[in-house]
Amino acid sequence: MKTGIGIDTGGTCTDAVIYDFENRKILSYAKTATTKDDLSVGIGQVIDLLPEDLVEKAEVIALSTTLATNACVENKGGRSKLMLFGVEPRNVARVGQEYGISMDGNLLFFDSHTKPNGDITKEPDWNDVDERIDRDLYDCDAVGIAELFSKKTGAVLEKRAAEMINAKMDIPVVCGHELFSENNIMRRGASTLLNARLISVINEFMHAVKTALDVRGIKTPFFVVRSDGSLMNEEFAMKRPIETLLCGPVASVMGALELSDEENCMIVDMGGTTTDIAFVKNGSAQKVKDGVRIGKWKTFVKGLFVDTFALGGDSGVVLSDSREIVLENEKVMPLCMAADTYPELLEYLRDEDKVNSCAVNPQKDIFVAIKDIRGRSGYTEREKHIVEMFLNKPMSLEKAGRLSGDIVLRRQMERLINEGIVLRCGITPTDAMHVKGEFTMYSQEAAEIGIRRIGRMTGRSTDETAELIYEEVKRKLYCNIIRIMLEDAYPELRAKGMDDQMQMVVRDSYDRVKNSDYAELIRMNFKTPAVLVGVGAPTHLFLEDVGKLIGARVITNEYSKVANALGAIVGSISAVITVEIRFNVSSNTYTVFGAGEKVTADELDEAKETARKIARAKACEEAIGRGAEDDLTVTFDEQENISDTKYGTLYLGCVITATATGHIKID
Amino acid sequence: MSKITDLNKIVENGDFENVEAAVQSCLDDGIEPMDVLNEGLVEPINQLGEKFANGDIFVPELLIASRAMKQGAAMLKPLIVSEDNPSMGKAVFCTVEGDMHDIGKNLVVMLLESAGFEVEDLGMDISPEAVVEAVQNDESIKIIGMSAMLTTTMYAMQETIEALTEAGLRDRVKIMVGGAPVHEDFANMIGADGFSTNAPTAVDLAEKLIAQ
Amino acid sequence: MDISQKIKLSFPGTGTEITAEKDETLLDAARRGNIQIPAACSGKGICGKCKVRMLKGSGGEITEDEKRMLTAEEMAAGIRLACCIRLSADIEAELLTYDSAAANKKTEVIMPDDFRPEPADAEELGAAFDIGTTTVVGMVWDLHTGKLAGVAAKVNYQNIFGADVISRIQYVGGNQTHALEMQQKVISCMNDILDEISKTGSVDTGRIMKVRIDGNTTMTHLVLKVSPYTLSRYPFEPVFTGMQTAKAADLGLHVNDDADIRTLPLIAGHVGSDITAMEAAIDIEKLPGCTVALDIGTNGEVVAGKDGQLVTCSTAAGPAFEGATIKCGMRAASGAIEAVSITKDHLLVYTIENEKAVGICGSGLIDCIAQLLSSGLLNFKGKLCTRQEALDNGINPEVADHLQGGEDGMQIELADGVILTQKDIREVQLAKGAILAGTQTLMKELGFTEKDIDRIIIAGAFGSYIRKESALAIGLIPEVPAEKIISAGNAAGTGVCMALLSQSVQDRIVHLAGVTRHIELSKNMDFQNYYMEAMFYPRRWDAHER
Repeated sequence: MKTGIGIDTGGTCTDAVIYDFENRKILSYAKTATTKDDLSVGIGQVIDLLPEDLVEKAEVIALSTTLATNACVENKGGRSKLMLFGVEPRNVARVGQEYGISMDGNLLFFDSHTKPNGDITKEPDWNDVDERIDRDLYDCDAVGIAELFSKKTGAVLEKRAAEMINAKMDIPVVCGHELFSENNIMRRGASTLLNARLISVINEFMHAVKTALDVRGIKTPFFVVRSDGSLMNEEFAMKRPIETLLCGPVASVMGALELSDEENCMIVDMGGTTTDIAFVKNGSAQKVKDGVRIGKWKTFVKGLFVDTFALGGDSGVVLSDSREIVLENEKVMPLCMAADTYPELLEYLRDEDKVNSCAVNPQKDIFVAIKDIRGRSGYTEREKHIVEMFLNKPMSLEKAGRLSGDIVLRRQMERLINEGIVLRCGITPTDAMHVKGEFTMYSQEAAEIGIRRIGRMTGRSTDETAELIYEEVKRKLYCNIIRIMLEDAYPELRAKGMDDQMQMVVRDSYDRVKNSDYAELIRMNFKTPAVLVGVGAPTHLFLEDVGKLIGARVITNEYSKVANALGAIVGSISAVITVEIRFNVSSNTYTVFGAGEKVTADELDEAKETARKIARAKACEEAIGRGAEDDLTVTFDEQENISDTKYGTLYLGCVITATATGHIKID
Repeated sequence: MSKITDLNKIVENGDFENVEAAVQSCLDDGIEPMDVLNEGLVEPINQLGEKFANGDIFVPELLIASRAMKQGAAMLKPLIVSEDNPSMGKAVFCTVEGDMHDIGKNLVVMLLESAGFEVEDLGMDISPEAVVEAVQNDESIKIIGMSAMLTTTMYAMQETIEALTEAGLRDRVKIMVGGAPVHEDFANMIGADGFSTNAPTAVDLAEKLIAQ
Repeated sequence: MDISQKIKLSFPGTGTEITAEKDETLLDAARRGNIQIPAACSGKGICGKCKVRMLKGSGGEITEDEKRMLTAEEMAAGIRLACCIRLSADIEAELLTYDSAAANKKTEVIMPDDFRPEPADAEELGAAFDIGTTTVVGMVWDLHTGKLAGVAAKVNYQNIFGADVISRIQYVGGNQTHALEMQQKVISCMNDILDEISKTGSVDTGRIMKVRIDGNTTMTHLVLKVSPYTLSRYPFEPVFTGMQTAKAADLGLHVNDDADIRTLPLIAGHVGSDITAMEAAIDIEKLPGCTVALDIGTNGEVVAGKDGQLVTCSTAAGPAFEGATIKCGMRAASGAIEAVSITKDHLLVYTIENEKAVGICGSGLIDCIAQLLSSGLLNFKGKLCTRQEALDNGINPEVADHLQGGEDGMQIELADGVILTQKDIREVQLAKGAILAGTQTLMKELGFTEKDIDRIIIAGAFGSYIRKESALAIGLIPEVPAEKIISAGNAAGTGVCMALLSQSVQDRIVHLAGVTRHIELSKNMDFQNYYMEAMFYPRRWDAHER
């Protein structure tokens, strides 16, 4: 029996599963809080929660981590520089910002000229390159190199510069052409630089993980999950940390797929603040066509196509002008949780409850400050004063006003709220779950008080109100699912967004499909053949009913909560290499280029053969480098662009992609 | 208004020898330079553009009229304050590398200028690098127009668009292509934003693209 | 090609079998197999020259064009028009007419009065070939006596790949296989010419020991299997310009294995040895004063000379004068309108061999437009007037009735089924504008004006048939008194024969290629400026100026 351990460090929780590959069963699972400051601590802790004997027997460990994503967003990274060949500083100054590269000391420009067809008309001054390597790179943790039109030149400048550096220093060097084959030197450069910056971050992390495992006597080799769901070994991961960006959502999807065994499904992951929906069509997860933007970096990393919208356990419940219950987009601290953390709040709530008021009064809104920014610059005196009042002391605006002898308005803390320094404490679906007894981790009493109050304002009982909140969650979930399905069918809708009328139709359809009493001639039953797979804690409470409305089978089982950890371990190793062919009209020859190679062929068939050979060889080489067994499966995808005009045919090119997949090599 | 009508006729007839005198005559009459430009010089070109589209007039009529118009406009340029005359946007046009056909392109350039665009005509046989250089040198360029008449030179359009993408500039401009052998399929395959096969539709396309 | 789509086309009479593709016309398929079914209108269905008789197999439903062109008896006898039959199954057919059209215009070989051949010692034969884009002429001479032994002309078999040089260049691209294909076409044409000459003149082509070839740059490259790829893009450079030697076996030409075969030197760009041959034939260097010589064909080359200085250019006028882009255009063959007379009272047309009018050829086109201008039905800007406008201007209804509205604007009906459209008139404007502007550019280069012109020589096959007054009327050439216009027939053909027969002429041609300066028009500002104005017909036809 072959088993492995999958671990996922998410935003809130670190999950682990022990998986039996042969029988495709989850043998055990565990969850613990993510230790944001040092992820390896949480990893060690969650392993401790698993049965020791199973852990010992596991042959491989796979890790899905948000490390890189967090580092990007928080702009953390090691000291690294990017060498740019053939790019003018003024152009980076003009356009670079969009991609995350700025004119700071991290960019080293080398003058050279390359024509769009790949002819290098002016080589860089290699003596100068040599000198500057000595002078500017000595204090770097890692170096990135990017060359203009590297795809067409065979990346000769990148390769030579890399050789020169490797001869002198022992620091990781990664070239643009190794990472991405797409056009756009700015984006490629930014991605390469980002990769270099992340190298020290991931190095540190890997060491920490290794230590945590060592300490527990675990010698199992571990692999890291990439943004496309496949795995790579430690060695590879240390060179290509950029590939771990956004691996979390993908792991979730892969896990859900494994659990549901469906070819076509929508994975619905409802979290605290947002719901993420991903698609799987014909067994493969839908990816974003363009690269993703993370923090300030616009990269070529192709993440999973995930539709994210505001809806979660912590979505705030408010009353609309017409006293209807509505879910807000902003994140709110559930009243039950706030009362649980801050007992004084419960006292306040009990007092308020006795008053029985049913007027809507914004001054009664409760806020709490969770970060102390008083020492930081960039905040006004008033803002600092507000933080001081509310720091870890949830209270209503009314009370704060009395304390400060002033009137405190929400408006005054708008920025603090946007930056997540101050949170409103209020009723959320989590509170409704408490009232209904389906989730009772926090203060049930506070939840009841809060919901009862809302009920009073709308003339309903507490139970009815909780039910209405559930309804709103389901409605919002339904509407978004319908929207996503429509956007999938009509890409223009996704690009332009649905207009008000369309939105109205979709919203209305929810009521209509539940209620067949409507007098109009139209019935609107949107249906889908897809299966809805629910992942994430509260999902199962809402997804089933929504599924019924659209005729979709819903799968949520006890393992949904660790789908992400499962997804980490079910991945295989894969390497994708792209080689292109272009026709040279002036010499009537074909050029094959890509993966750092450039070859000329006289005939098209010859060119295609060569391209396939190169793609296959490089893909296999890389797959093995990533940790696959020799027994690889290679598939090809070929896209040709031929345009017929009335004056003749133009051969615009061919793109051949080889994908080599294989199982993890377990020594 | 008769001074303006006289000027219109002179432009229509391509009478470049007398255009300057006619412009001066309008100015002497107290007509504002902007009005002389728009109503006296640009308006007849617009009308001729319509007639050309309908087949009522032919290439030479349009070309000689434009020559006369340009001459008149050159006289008025120093007199017009640029704020009063906001440009629709800046465009760069060329005939691609290896190709020397330019009548079509010249017509488009002329009609675009009448429509209020600021157009830089790079000329014929323009390499991909030259186009990239032009965009790098001038941040205000919003539209690039390329024309080709031979299937053998159309490849240069693909190369130019790739070069712009590689330089990180593709998102900053809209690219339109034209010429007899160019059609929608080709324009889509190479990633252009639009194509046109004749001068009047090219102007419509440019106006649509600049609004995006 | 899908095997199941192969169709067999056979001509039992000639013993030829051709593999054709489904939906190809019988005309195109035959041409591919080097069976040149005459098609003066290039397959438009208007000249009726491509008659074939069906022996076996069906040509599909008979088309409207055929019903118009063929008599009831012909149709009953199984006669069809090859350009109207789309092949769908195996067919056996018989040719009915042979391409004599080409022969008409080019087979007169007129040598200059003062030309003296340099006789060869041995009793040898020599062949001179003038390879035109449209027509190839071969002339076999007795080198010992200096007498013409035979002459024949055929349509250039390369036409299947396009009527003009650019199409053919694009077809070849950089592809060696296509270059070979293209070369084989013209060589078979030349061999068929030799065949014909040997039969009619009882001449043994195996005794041809010397061959000289002239042609425009593209033709010269193609006959030598060289891909003229660089001619299609700026700066339009030929791969070679000097005289080239070749072996009969390499070319596949049916002359003596040891024959001395050479192509005459080219000048530059598209201006080839057809021009240098023409220069030699008219002895342009010796002509005093100012001379303009034109070859009115697809390439529209012009040479200007002043006191021994020579300049040339290629105007790329286009095939309008060869009938290609004209709706009812055709080459000069019987039934082609070659002259027109229009006044306010009558509209008359004259056709070749007085046959029923089926189309209009180049000379007829020029004539027609000249007449439309002089009668006021066409204004100098090139716009045909409407019937009402004509009536208002005092034109008789008989004539005015010929003006009709059509799908592309106004058109004028010249004869039953033969019309000239507004678009046709525009085509001519562009073509003649290019030629005139090119001429004016050369004149400016040498520093002379119309008033200084001593002679205008019009060469080229149909130059002999253009009415001088008409050429002046439409502004094809600079304004000069009619007596200064001279027609030189196929001067290139004459020149290549002279080179064959005289070493000193050959040397002179090499010299002329060296001293004639080529002006590249594409970037020339003068040409651009002249072209704009030249695109109008002469302003003297402006109503106000009459």
